[in-house]
Amino acid sequence: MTYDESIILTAENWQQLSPGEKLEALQAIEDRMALESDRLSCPVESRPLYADGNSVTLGLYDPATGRICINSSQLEPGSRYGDDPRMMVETCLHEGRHAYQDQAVKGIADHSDKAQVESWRENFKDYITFEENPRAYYSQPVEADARAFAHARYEMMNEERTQLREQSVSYGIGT
Amino acid sequence: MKGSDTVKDRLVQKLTGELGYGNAAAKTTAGDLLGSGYEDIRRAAELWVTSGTMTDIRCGGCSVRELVTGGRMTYPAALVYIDWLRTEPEKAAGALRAVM
Repeated sequence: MTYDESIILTAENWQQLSPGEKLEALQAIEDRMALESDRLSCPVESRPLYADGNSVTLGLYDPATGRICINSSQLEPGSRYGDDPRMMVETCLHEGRHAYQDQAVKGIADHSDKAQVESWRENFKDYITFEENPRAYYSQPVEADARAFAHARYEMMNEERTQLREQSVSYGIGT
Repeated sequence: MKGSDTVKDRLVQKLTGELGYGNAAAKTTAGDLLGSGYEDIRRAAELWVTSGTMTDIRCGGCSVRELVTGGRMTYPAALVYIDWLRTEPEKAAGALRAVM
């Protein structure tokens, strides 16, 4: 699947996709993000993560394996975020940004702001989990940066999607 | 002042020893709890340190008991969460709904 196909599929067609197809679309997005930031792409996989009636862990990045995990329950139709492609795409972008931070700290990816890389290094050393202290988790530098990146890049994706649709109409595709 | 430091030290030790917190996480969490602007949060933390008793505190539709029994977070984390929910309700509620 190409990136262009994935950003179309992660809009109105999301509910029609199987869990496997959703993962395939998220993988295409992750591959594109890795290319854009000149880092190694991570496998995007699904596995059961925490979910109850009030709270869902949507995804995580595992620095030990270099893998992005998406909560398998949230790829199912009818689940809390199963029909919400924005949340799932932002999760993929967010976890991919953690991969970038991790690779910048390890010297695999080049991040121009070296002071920020140092702050990420210190943060990973003293990382606080949501389960330990939710407010400190939310506020720590690597999480604030990943949230900002995911939000901004998703907005850009919306513009790319609009452009693709306009091109399709002007070329007479899909009419 | 000295008494307050002692409670904080014991809280840090309990967080690291019983709940497996790293040192930074333990110090931050102890500071958040004992420095809370809400007396019931501070008292609940102190009671937990001295006797292990868990106090249920509610804010809106959210309770410490539900957060802990559901396995979402530790008891001290749930106290911090209620403090956060009172001070920044929208941000705290959103952060709990979707964790990434």
